[in-house]
Amino acid sequence: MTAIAAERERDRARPALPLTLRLAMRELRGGLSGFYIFVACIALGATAIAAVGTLSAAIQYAIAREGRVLLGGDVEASLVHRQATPDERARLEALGAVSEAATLRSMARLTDGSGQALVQIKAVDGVYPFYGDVIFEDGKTLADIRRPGAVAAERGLLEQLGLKLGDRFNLGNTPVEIAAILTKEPDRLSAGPTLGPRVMTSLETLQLTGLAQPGSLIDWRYRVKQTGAAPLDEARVKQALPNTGFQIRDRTDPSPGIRQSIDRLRDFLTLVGLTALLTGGIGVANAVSAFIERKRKVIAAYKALGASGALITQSFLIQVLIVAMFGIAIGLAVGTALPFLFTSLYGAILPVRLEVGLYPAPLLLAAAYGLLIALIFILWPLGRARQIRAAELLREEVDGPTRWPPRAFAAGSIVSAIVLVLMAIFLSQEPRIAALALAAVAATFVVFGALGYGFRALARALPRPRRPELALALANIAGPAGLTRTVTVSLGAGLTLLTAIALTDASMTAELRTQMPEQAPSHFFVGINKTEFGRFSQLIAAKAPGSELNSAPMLRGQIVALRETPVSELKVPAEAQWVLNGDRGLTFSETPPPDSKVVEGAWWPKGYSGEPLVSFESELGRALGLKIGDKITFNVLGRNVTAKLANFRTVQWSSLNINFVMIFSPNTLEAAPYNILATLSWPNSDPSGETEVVRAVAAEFPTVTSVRVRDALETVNTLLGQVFTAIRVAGSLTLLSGVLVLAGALSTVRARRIYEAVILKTLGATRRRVLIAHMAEYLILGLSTAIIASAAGALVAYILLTQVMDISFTAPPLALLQASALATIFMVAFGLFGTYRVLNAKAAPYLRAE
Amino acid sequence: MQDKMIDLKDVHLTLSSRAGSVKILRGVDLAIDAGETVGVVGPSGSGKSTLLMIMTGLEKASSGAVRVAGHNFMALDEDGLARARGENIGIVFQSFHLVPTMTALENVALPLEFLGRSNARHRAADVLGTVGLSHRLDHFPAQLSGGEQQRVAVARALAPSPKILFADEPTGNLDARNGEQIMDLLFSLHKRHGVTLILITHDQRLAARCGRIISMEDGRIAQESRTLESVA
Repeated sequence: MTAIAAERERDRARPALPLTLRLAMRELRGGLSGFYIFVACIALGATAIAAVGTLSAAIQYAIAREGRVLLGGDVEASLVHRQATPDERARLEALGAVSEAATLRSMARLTDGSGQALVQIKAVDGVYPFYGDVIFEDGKTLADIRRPGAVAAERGLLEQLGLKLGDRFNLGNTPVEIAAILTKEPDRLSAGPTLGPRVMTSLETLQLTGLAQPGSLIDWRYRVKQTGAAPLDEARVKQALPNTGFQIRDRTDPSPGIRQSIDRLRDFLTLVGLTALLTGGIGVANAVSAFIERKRKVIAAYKALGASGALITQSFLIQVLIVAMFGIAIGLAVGTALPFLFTSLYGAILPVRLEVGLYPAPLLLAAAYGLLIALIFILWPLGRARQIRAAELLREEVDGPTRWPPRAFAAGSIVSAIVLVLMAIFLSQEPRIAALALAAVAATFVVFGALGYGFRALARALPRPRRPELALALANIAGPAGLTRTVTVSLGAGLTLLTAIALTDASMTAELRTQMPEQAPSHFFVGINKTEFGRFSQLIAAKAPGSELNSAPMLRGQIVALRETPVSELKVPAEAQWVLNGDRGLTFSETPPPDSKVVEGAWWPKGYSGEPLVSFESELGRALGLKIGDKITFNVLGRNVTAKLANFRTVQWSSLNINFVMIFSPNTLEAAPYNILATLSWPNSDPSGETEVVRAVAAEFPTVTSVRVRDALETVNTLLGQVFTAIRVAGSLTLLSGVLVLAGALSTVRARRIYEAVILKTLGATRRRVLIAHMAEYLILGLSTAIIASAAGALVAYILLTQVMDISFTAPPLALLQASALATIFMVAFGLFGTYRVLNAKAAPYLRAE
Repeated sequence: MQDKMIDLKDVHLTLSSRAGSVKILRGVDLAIDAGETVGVVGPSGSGKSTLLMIMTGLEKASSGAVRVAGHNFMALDEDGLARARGENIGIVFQSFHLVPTMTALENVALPLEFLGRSNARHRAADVLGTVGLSHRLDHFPAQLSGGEQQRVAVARALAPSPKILFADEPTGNLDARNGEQIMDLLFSLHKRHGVTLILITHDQRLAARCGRIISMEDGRIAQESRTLESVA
């Protein structure tokens, strides 16, 4: 068979693809050369978004899958302060099998009084748990702790108090025996974060301890297990228990707080990933511009051979989109793989077994964001392909490409940007914050784009230095084909973000670690019986001379209606939603608290005995849409009470003093069984004195719980540290994207740099001179961008901390400098790596080529 | 009277550059009949390549009338010119301008694909056979010699069976032997297919193989002469 006949044979077997696609595939035979940075930029951003989304989906899926186990039943109805009445219990039992559990915070004390520890007690009945298994060490079972006076404790408590299996310690008024060591309880997650180790016991033993008194802060949880065929859900239980103050949730959402926190963190990290993608977009645009530049002659040849402009641009669009898809595919693959790595490293310590796998929704989202970013940054430079004329085959173009691409391309780019912004905003749980964050990112890009122009203008305006190296550096900065704008935008955006994160982290940590303990109380005492408070005060005065004891009555209750509209029918902003979710601490007072200020309305007079009144924290109250005179109905101890909003007041939360969102006029609540919450501020205390106070309180008032503020803050700090680690990692990706963009930009200017260096060498410049000229250029650009980015990052952090979070701004030099120093080093190192190749280029081949 | 294959009347071209405007063509009148062979000669900067660009629609005249193969080039937009070129004109460039990522066969099939011809690859393989490259169908330009590359370029120009074949210094990047072979090829194809051949060259000896020689000077046709070829 001849070659021509063979070709005919092959041609028959070949699938008929559209011409645009055929052309694109042929062009791509050259491989991805020139597209590595493009692919890396897209892949990096897509990886971040896919990994964050997959991990959060895996967690949410695990929570949903194990909803019954985590909740302890199909539905949980919980009450604070009081047990269900026999009638309420009967209504629950009509729906299915019922299990009762009580959770509360208390103190475990050594029998000789030499030590104590804060514990989280969980008292269960004989049918607990409906779902899942409680696991104890050494094959012990729940039966071991069902006898009166027996408890199971987590190993942490044993280590803290130096106890072992079989030892006894005091709980409330009675000694209990450690009959088992608890390793896992199935429904732990739904209880939320806790402050101390778990002690599990029976409801009978709880009664023996005397901790379950009227007004005690105990959560009574009723888990209902579906026994009939009719599905049991939140709605059915709500219907059975109307207006009774029960908080009800079902297996579909066993832990709303954790779900919301994960959603928020995912949204935030997705935004940070999007910033990395946006930064990478500059690399994409640079790569496409360079690609079109390389293909000028091919495009002109196509036109000379009769191809229409549309055919050419479509084919080139397909090419770059294929490359973008390749980057996205890498991103999705790595983004799917990373959660596996995370699970293998941390899976064991997570409360649920993560089922990492392919979650289409987050992958689709990452792909969509990747594609949109690609379109935004591809279409603009690609439009210029349309402007290339066939005449270029015979003559170098006299006029450069026009500044604006054809209208359709500009419009496509802008529409993609709008779609991206809308997606980012409306897919977020908190659209307002997402919109603000995107606006800040856009502003950063605009500022640093403008800065690039500014640097160039400044370099042009400066008098020409005498030293030729500096003159060359300035000329490079001023030149239109230089690196200036790419450096300012790509490094600037990432550096601003990282500086803002570093400073926010530093300020929050400083606020928690250093500033607060000086003004804040050292201990909280919870559950002081109102009849014993006088004796309690005397004990503190005796054991802690010079200390200040502040106290407030405390109950817990939940808002059930605002302005006579049930809360379930209210649509309130996300930042105020938490006030309506579950129980809030309630108090009453004759006078406003010391660090509060009434900003609207008036405080009630002393001895007030009229209609129940309430004072609301001003920001939250206004966010809920409340006005002075509005009716607020809340449920406390099973009763609905309606109070009129008398005033708004400010609260300085960061003082850590006793503060409440709602304070009632005394006549509203003083008849209810309540306990006292007290704080101890003891500025000149020493650790042994503090321990002695806690020991004395534990001995004299066994049902009172002491919480060391430092321990509580440490828990918050640890959590905050973990969150910031995640944010830093995501933030670093933006800088990494910037570095990639920079590397790409350096490689596109390398050919020109080599030619320039060859000319300089021909004119007698030593390699040292060329090196100094380049180093000066990179140092000037890197350092000035870093300084301005640090200032911009500090400004962002300042606004965020002082205006949004109400935290004082601190700028430790190290946090301020680390990102800048890193960026300058990157810039100079990358630049000089390129220069090394420039310096080693031999002059002759380049001159011959000319 | 029969329509001319190429008909230029008072064609001017002025290009603007940063240094100011430059007059490149200053009133060219030229008529070429179907099947003619015309050599365009002249020193560098005389405007001969620009004249080719005007006649192929790669460049639009600033003023004057340009009719090629029945199309009014002055009235067509960029895509209209591309279509007219694809259907009527083949161009062989001095620097070949083959697409490096495509094989010889794909390069030759390209203008046929642009025209939407269904048998593009068959036809391309046939044309490559006529230029003696049937054994090089799947070779990329970088795998071919200069002479072979120019033959691919000639095949590509001829593949859509154009009415006019333009060759811009087709031997400029070739050695003498390869140059000679390419010229023989072009003239034999002209004879076989009756295609109008316009040859831009600074080589008087090559131009002498054409039936008519146009000498360009300073953007104008300075001289026109018939050669023995035209009466042969």
